[in-house]
Amino acid sequence: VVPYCNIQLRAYQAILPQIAALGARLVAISPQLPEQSLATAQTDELTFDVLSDVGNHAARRFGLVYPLPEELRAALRSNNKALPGINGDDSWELPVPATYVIAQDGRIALAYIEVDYRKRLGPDAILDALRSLQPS
Amino acid sequence: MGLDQQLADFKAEFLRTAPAGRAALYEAKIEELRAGFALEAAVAVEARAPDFRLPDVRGNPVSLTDLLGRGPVVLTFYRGGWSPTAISSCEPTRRSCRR
Repeated sequence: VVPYCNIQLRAYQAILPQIAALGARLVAISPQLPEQSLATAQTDELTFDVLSDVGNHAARRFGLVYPLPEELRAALRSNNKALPGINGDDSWELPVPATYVIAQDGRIALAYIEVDYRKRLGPDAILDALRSLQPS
Repeated sequence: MGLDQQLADFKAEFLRTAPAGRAALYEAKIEELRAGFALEAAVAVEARAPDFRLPDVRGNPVSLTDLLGRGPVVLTFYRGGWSPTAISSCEPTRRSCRR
């Protein structure tokens, strides 16, 4: 079984050639320790930048961070997925899954923020947004 | 198969195999988060993206400013891969772990 994040990252890896052809770069950020990010990149065979935001400092600046409720901490502990061992801190904080398309001048052209982690922005929407940024 | 279908298939498989009560708990917590999360405070369309400088998997720093120097950027925040093989060799109290 492949959890939601891995499914999403693999789907984005699949459109990496189109992203590059549109002159853009793809970057994924999670609060995982670098070693865990490496494991994710290797497992999902990702060739784009996978960055470690330990402490969620970048995610916080984007307004995406929330603390996981106690019942869900217990569920992750019982699944051998306790976040302190993965993220390197005891905060149990996560980013709400979000995908941005950022124009070269730093302006956000597309923002997809969804608290239901089972839903992710589709690859077609990313490519459409990138095409809209192309000089005509 | 498209991303939406893959996500839906995984969700269906989870609902079929999850321990009793787990699916209802996750559903309730998603709705709790939807009610409590300050979506209006999150960075949105037309805003300027905050800069960051973070290490990649080899420890090399990558900043948004550098990336934007070469073109548009697709940036995705994900929760984690939560790879069980990697986790099993990690001590919770340590800052980093060896694989």
